[in-house]
Amino acid sequence: MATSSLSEKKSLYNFLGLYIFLTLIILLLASLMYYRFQKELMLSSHLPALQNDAKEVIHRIRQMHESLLEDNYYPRYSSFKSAIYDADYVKIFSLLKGESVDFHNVLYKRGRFIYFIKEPERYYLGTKYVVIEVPDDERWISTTIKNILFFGSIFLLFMAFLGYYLAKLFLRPMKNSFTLLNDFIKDTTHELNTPVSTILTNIETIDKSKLDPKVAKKLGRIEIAARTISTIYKDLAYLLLHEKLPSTIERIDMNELLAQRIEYFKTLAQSKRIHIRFSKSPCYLQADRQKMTRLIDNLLSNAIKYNKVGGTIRVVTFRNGFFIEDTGVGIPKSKQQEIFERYKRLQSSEGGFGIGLNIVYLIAQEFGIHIAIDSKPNQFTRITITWDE
Amino acid sequence: MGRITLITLFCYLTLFAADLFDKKCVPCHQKRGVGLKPIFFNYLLYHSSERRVKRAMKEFLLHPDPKKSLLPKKGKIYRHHFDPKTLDKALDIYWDRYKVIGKIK
Repeated sequence: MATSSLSEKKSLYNFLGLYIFLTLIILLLASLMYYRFQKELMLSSHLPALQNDAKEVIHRIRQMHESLLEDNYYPRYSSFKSAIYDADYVKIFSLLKGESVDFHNVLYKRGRFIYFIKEPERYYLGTKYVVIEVPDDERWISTTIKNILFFGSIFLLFMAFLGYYLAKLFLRPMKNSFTLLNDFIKDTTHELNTPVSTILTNIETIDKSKLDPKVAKKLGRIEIAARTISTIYKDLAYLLLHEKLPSTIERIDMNELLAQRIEYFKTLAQSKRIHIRFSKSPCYLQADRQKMTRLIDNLLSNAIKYNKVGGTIRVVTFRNGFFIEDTGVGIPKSKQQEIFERYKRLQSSEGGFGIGLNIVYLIAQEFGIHIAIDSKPNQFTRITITWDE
Repeated sequence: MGRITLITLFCYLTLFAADLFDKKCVPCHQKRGVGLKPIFFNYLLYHSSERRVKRAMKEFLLHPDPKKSLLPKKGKIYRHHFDPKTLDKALDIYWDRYKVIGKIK
């Protein structure tokens, strides 16, 4: 059935959405860790050279110290820059390009430079920290990003396929249940049609005026029950087959069709002492008669079902539409958007499957018909059906 | 008037301290053959920063201890009789005269 397939797809997409979202978070964290690892690796690869550089600077400042700064020329190298700081982080001398130094890290990268901090064994010239600065060509960054993108895409694709397979696996029991239910409904529906039609045909052939009033009343009840089953049968048949049913478009006199359907529901309405008033204006529609019958039947059926005993139903046609108004329980504003969803029932006490207004919605969609609801709880519900001329 | 008095007092104290360092510390160290510059670089070698060097010098000068001596030559240790404030000023001059910051090329 289309609903089960839609529901299955929705569940599948929801699961896949969540799964991909979580996978992306994992991928992001993994990428971040990989990036940091690559950075550490790059820094470690520079460490031996940086230690040698620091040794050279320390050796030189030791000479300067031992000369009591008579020799005061600070060493300069083309491959790196250096600086010396005292124990209170005061700069003694610096050739660094970057100004701020992070004394909490021994080896780190800031901006486009790598920094290494070495503490001499003694404070030559008061130096507690020798800072070495070398430029970083950042080639490792582009390699890392390329790797992240490449392996990340492969991982994402793999996880997507795995997720799809898992989702299918998890949804199989649900799909089986839907199939079972659909098959059951199909079989039941098929088996219902013949006996219900037989009951209704036979009831219609009986001349009720010749019957005892008590028997006629009982027969009326049988007729109501049979018509209710017939309506349910037609709704289920529509739901099962509406995608396969071809529409025969014809010009429908809506007054004539509505009158016919009101007549059909008359017995049911009488059982609740509901009075149906019908105001006619010329009203025509190009649509499929069988489908419009289903639409009207469901609206009338609901108007009777949710009406109070002794209530009224007003059916009014106008040039490009009609409305059916009952004096029933009404529909709260917050629920008005939901009532067209399948299996949505506002009052479980009234029975039914919650498929009637969904059928109305599906038919309206097919013929470009607009549905408007106006309702006040415990006062009235008016469902207006209009179409473009 | 108050400001002039304050400036005069500051100049007097500074000159007095400089006078004190050049007239009291330098000749005495020269006489004993213990140069002030090597001592300064020894303090730098063990204490690094200005704050730490001055603190260590002051501590030694006020409470001389042969075990903590950083004098280049081992010998008799003389007790200095400066009051702490005068000593602070003398040490400031000592630091400014031999500090390495600004002298490296």
